[in-house]
Formats: sequence, C-alpha cells, structure tokens
Amino acid sequence: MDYIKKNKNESQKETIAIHLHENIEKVKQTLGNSTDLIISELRIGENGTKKAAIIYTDGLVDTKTIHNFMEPFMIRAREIEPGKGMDTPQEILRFMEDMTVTVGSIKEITDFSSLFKSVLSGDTVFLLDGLDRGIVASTRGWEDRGVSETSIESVVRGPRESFTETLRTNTSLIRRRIKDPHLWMETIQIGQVTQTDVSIMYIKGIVNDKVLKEVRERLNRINIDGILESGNIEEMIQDETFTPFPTMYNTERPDVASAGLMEGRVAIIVDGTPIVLLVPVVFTQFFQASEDYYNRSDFGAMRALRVVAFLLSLLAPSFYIAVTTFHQEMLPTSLLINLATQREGVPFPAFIEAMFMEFTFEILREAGIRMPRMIGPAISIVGALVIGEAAVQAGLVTPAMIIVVSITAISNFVFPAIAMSIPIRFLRFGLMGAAAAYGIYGIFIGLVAIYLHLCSLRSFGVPYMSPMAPFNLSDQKDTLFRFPLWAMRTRPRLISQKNKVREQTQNPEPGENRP
Amino acid sequence: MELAIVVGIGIDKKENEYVVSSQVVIPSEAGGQKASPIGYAPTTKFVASAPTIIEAFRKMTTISPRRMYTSHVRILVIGEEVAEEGLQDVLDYFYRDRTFRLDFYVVIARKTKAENILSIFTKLEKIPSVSLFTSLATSEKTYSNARGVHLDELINTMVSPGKNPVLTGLTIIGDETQGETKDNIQRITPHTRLKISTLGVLKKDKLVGWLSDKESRGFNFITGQVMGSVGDVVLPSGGKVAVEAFRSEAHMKSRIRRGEPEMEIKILTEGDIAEVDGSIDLMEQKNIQMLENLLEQRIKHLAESAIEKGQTKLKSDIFGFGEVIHRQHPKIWNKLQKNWAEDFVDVPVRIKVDAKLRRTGKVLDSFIEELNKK
Repeated sequence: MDYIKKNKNESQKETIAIHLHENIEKVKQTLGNSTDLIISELRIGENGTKKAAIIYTDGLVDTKTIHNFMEPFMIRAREIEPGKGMDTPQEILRFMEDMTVTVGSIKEITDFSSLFKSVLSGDTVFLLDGLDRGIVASTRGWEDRGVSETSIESVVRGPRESFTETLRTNTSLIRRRIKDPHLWMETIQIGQVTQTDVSIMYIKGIVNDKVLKEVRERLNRINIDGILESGNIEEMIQDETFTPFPTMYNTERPDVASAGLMEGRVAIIVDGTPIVLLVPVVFTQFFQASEDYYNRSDFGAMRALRVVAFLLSLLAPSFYIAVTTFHQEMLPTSLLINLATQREGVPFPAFIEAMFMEFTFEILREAGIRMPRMIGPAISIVGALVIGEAAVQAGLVTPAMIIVVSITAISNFVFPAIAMSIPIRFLRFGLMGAAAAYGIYGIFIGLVAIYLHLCSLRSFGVPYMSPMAPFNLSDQKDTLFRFPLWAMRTRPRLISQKNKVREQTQNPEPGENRP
Repeated sequence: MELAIVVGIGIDKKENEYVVSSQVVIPSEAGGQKASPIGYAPTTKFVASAPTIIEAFRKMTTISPRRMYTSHVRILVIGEEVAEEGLQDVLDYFYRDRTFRLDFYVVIARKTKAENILSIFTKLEKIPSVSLFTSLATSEKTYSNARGVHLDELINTMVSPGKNPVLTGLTIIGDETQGETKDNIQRITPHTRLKISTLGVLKKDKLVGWLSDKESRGFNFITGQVMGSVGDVVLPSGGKVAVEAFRSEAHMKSRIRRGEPEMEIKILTEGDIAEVDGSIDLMEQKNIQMLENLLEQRIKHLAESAIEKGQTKLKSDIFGFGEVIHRQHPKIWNKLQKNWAEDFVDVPVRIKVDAKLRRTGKVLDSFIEELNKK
C-alpha cells in the first residue's frame, strides 16, 4: 500500500512536459516498459516535421476505432498546406478536436495520473511534441463475454438476458428498459490499485434521497486496494456484518434491477462482474421471483409455497430430531412403530445421524460447484450412492432420514434469490443442535431468536422485516401473494417515500362495445 | 429412540398387589415392509407385581432392557376381578402421569385375566393392542354393540352423581394357551381370537354386570351413540328386511309430575334398506311406512330391554338420567341427588322412536319377487 501511495502522489504532481521524448520516457519508465503498452511515434505536419505519439494498451482498445480516427487525420493533415492552420501545436489540437465525430469523445489532459488512468482503461492518448497537454480519445473495446442467458435466476416466462462483466453493457441493458431522462447514473472509481468503475443508478424523483445520500457516503468511505466483485463492495457497505442474512439484494437480471429502480431502489453496478447490487432490501424480496410479475397474478400464490419450503429447509431435520428424541407421543402410533423399526440397529442417535447426512449433502453440494465440469457426472453417482442406498444398507442412517435430508436439500433451492439459501444452511445446523438438546422447546427458542434478530436488521435505514414489521396493509399486496398489477397502485412505502402512486390503470372489465 | 413402546397395559390383582402386564412392540418384527426372517412375536409382554402401578412399571425395567414408554398405549385392559372390586385405585396413575395421551380405550377382560388378553397373537393387525383398538373403533361405527370409552370420559362419568359408566368387555374365544404361540396366526382359522364383547355396567367404579348384545345396542340407541348399526324386521308376510342405520340421534327429556321425575327419550334414526329376504313391494310408499313402523318398534324394543336391565336388574344409571334432570330441573335434582341410586330404579321411562328409511340400495324390489312370479 505504501508503495502504491507514494507512486500515486508522485505522478499526480507531475504534469505533461513540453518535449515529447521526455513524456515517452516517463510513460515507459512508470509502466515498467510493459509489453502490452503500445507507443507508436509518428510524424505529421509538413514534411513530417512535427513529432507525435499515440499511446494505448493492447487488448483494451478497439484498434478499428484508432484506425478510423487516425487515418483521416493523417491524410488530411498532409493535405493542408503550411501556414493554413497546422503549424503550431495549438492549431493541430483544434484541428483534431474538429474531427471528433469519428470517435466517442475527446478530452484534454495535463497530468500523468490522468494519462495513465486513460491508457489503462483502454483509451488512446495522443501526445504532440511542443504541447504540454495530451489528447485522450475514447477507444475502449475489449473482448467480453457478450450478453448471455441467465444462469442463476432462470425463469420460464420472462427475458433471458443477464448482465455481463462489462459495466457499460450492464448500464445499457438497464437503459434499454428505462428510457426515462430521470434515470441518473453516477460513477466513481474505487480501489487504489484496481481503479474499478462503480456506478450507482437510480431514478431521480422516485428514489429516496436519504438512501441515495447514504449509498454515496458509504461508497466514498471505502479505501481499499482492490474491488474485484460486487461482493467486495457489499461487504464494505452493508449495514450488519454479523448476521447470516443478506442486507443487500444481488441479481444478474436486468429486468429485476430495472424493477428495483422503479420501486425506488438504488442499483450499484460494479465493473468486472455480472452481479448487480440493489439497496435497500427487505426480507420478503428474497421470496419474490421476477416471474411472479410476468405470469398471471394467481401464480403469485407460489410465494406461499416458497415460505413453506423456507420453513421446511430450515426446520425439517431439527423437527425430525426433536420428535424422534423427545416427543414421540406426537406421532401416530403406527408411524412411531414404523420409525422405530427403521431406527432398530442404527448405532447413532438421531442428531448424529442427521448431522452426518446434512454434512454429507453440504460436502456434495460444495464439491458440485467447485469441481471441474468434466468430473461432473461422477459426483452424481457418488452422491446418489452415498446419500441413498449405501448409507441405508450399511445401517448408518434410516430411510426416513434420507427423505428428511432430501426434502431439506431440495427446498433450499426454491428461493428465487440464492442469497437467502445461505443463511438457512447455517441456521439449520444451529436449530438441529437446539433440537437435540431441548426438543421442540429448543427449536422455538431458536426461532424466536432468529425472528428477533430479523426484526433488528435494517438495510440502508429500512426495517428488514417491513412491511410485516412495521406492518403496512397496502404493501401486503406484494408479500405472501401477489395482487393483480392493477391493484398494486402504490410503490412500497418505505422504499420510496415520495411519489407513491405507481399506476392508475382501471380494473380491467369488458368494455361497452364488446362483440 | 431407545424405548420400549408400550401399546397395551393389563391390570390384575393378586393378593394385595397389582399385577401389571405391558404389551411392548418389537419394532423389527412389527413394523415396516421387511418381515424378519426369524419371525419372532411382534410384541412381548412384561409382567411385574407391586403394591402400586407405577412401582410395577419401574420394576419392569429389571427384566426389560429399555425404558417403558407409555405415550402410545392403545388399550388399557382391566381384569374382571379388579373391575368388580373397584377401579378407583387403579385409574389415578393413568390420569396423573403426563406420558399418557388419554386417547386409549379402557376395556374389561371378561371371564379371563387382563394378562391373558395381552398374550394372544392376532391377524391382520400384527400388534394385538392395535388390533383391539381398531376393531373396537370399527365395531363402534358399524355395529354399535360396544363403546370405546376413553379414560377421561370414564373418570368424568364415574364422578358424576347422575351417571354411571359402561366399559366394553373383551373375551378370548378358543383356547388361551394355543393363542400364545405363533402357530395361532399361521392358520387360516386361528385357534384363538380376541372378541369385542358387550358392555359391562359399572356402578360408580365397580362392575356390577353385563348387558347382552341386544341390550348394548339398545343402550347405544338411547344415548345417541349409534354411528352405524344393522337390524332386521320381520315382515307380516314372512321374510325379513335388514336395515342399516347410518345416523341416529337421541333426545332425553325429564318431566316432573307431582314431584316425581319422568323420563322421555326420543330416538331419531335414519337408515337404508340393506337386505330384503322376502316379498315386499318397495315402490309402494305405504310399504316403506310399514317398514319404518316395524323398525321403530324394533328399536323401541331394544331400548326398552336396555332400560329394563339397567333399572331392575343392575340398578345403575348408565343412561345419565340423573344428569338430564340435573340440567333440566336443577332444583329438584338437589333433592333427588341423595337417594338417586335407589330412586332411579322407579323412574318411569317413555320411549319414542322416529325411524326414516332413505334409500333402498341399488335395486328397488328384490329379485325374489320375480322368482316367485314364474
């Protein structure tokens, strides 16, 4: 860090010199003569008396753009006769600025720090001998993945596009959906080494200004060497570190981000990652799939199913442990005898058995993500054998336990937002311990603790459990069930505190002139 | 789950000690699809005797490797001798201990010891106690000669001054010792079976006698407990028609005439024609009415025989007349209460039956009609 700081301070002071060769020497020295740095020296003007150089980083620039820009410049610069406006460096600069139509933008720089930033971001710098300024042409263009289909948050009905690693592509994906002039964007660079572009997008007039101010402040507070993913940003600015629950929403879907913006949220887009952050977030948001809004409103009842799956995923193993160790009287007699038959000969208590199976599954799941793709099929064979038949036949676990683990595992994937499945995975183990020690009493103590914790959370000032706690009747239209769109007339109250009315469509009815 | 799941408990008395027997499920034999190749008995029986019941249970751990787990008791069998001596000392433990679920049936072992009831192999349901529990529940719903009585109901009626309890009896048919071997269930017709018998009548907490099958059904009609029953009526033209009652209600009313109580019982029954063994034209409305009248007489007869037995022979108010008077004429009940046990015997009882026939099954007239024409 110290080394970086020192360097930075030095280059900030230095301004571009009047002699070209000094400047080139300086660039070469600072960048360590890196091989991807291209410095091509040219001669322009009458008889090539004026020396000039263009500097850019190979791979970050679109060479076609440079050609399109430089070619006509060079040709026309030769055509102009001496004494007709191409003699002094100032005149050349003006001439150049007149030709900006062919490239995106052109600006002047005077110091080396902006020169390096431009060169390393993919811009091309034009230096002219005798001029203590540089000209930056925007020529960014590098290999990227292109907009591809969503891989995490897939839907049956709805757009397939997902964000990419390029910031500009991502903002364009949002712009293409919201063509309002009030969709504003601010960009800052975070990371002293990485100089990562971080943009915040919001719709002026809908966004809660206090939240916006808070986001800006928190982003400005970050002082770190590098930001490689939006997760880095999230960790630096989230409200609460010691909670299993995410206090920021992340998505790879432009439509989800746009919907968030229209509800008054702020999107934080980080260059180099397809994951966009949305703040503030509430608990219920993790149960809302984008598809809920694209299908007819009765499909929104799926959310109730997701809540059931949430509880199953959180509680199924602990409930099984509690009932089989402490509360056998809760079961119907025939079921108890059935379970007792299965447990006959199993050497471990239900808790150990459940822990064993849950751990096995978690290992399989982790391995499934991390493992090279070619070995993929192997894990399904091993997984099916270990979790399934073999464990039972070896007499280590009961078949009922397998069912419990399977339903737990599969319920964990029901959430539209994968961020919510992580806290459940953690809390599940805690609750299993509580169930093994105190039975259902323990589970309830655990649940009460979780609930209290959830109520104490805030995301950028908005209570995490709203609109349930604090309760808001109107916002219930978009929690457990989704009301028809024409019924959801207002935006979530705590998210956007002004400009509440979202739409005023009439309840659709057959018209007077129906056939 | 290292538990011995007790499904049935039997209580007998020997000298001054209780002999407590518990039927414990052997999970590897009783449950699941995998039948054990060895084929042990699905349950086992632990017997211990002690001055108190809880002590007997604790004593059982000296012969059982696992703790007795009594939350899943399906049936509590009380030996006939114990029942005759009185149940008050027996039931407290079951009512007090928190592990009991109170949804098990209390029955009396008739003409045998409770211990023996718990030693018989049963078919269809592997676990004898579960077999008894379901068989009692089924016969209660389809034949109504028995009553499944839960512990809390039993205690409530026991302490009520205006009502005495009944308990269903259980008998063993066939040879008791043969029923204890696996051989019993390997045959199509087992040597020995357990049978739901009729109702035993208690006076306070003591068993005083038994109702017959007919009287038991009459009793259930009077108390409105019939959920399904079958009876036949004899046609004037010869032949029989069987009727399946599927709904029955009873309303008891008390009336005071010159300071003396009178009971009026109204029984409302709905039924279907289930079987016709004779010649009758069911298309005729008046024939249906005639059948209804015959049915009413028949039910009335059943009910009267139950009242007769209860009042004159056993002298026990199992019908709850006292409770009805208490509810409807509380002031007079205060006077009657003291001598109710004696006065009950002389209470005049009038029975009115209203029977309705609803459906005739898949056919109207019996094919016998056509058979006879040719």
